[in-house]
Amino acid sequence: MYGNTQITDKDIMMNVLGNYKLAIEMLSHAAVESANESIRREYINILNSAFEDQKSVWNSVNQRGWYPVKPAQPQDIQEARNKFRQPVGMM
Amino acid sequence: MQLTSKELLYLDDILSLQQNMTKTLNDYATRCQDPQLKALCQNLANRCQNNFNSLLKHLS
Repeated sequence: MYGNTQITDKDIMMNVLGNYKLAIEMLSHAAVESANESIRREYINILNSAFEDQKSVWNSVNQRGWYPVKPAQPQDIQEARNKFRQPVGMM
Repeated sequence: MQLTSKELLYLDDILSLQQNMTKTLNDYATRCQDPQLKALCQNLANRCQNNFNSLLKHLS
């Protein structure tokens, strides 16, 4: 049904990563909308473990070069710094 | 304590997600070529199953 297209380890792990991103958003919303304290705490516990699991997946894809990240440009950092600099004596 | 209607909707969604992730991760564990990724998927599937089981208690 997909012809000869083979699902690769990269495809699989990027899919898993996407699932964790979704799970983390849903758990966060569920915790915020819970009136019941015991269920709220349960969501927060599961959310914490989902963050750990998401990082394990992220590490495994990043180590294999499937999720490259690059440093911000120094001039862009300087620009942001200027934008948020507080004028002296003004609050 | 009784669930609110909103809590029930979220619980249903999250139980479905955890169940689907468990199945998907178990399947992925059989498909991964890299043994480290295979083990990771297997481990994550177990953790999703545990989450599912803990959440299911809130429906009883």
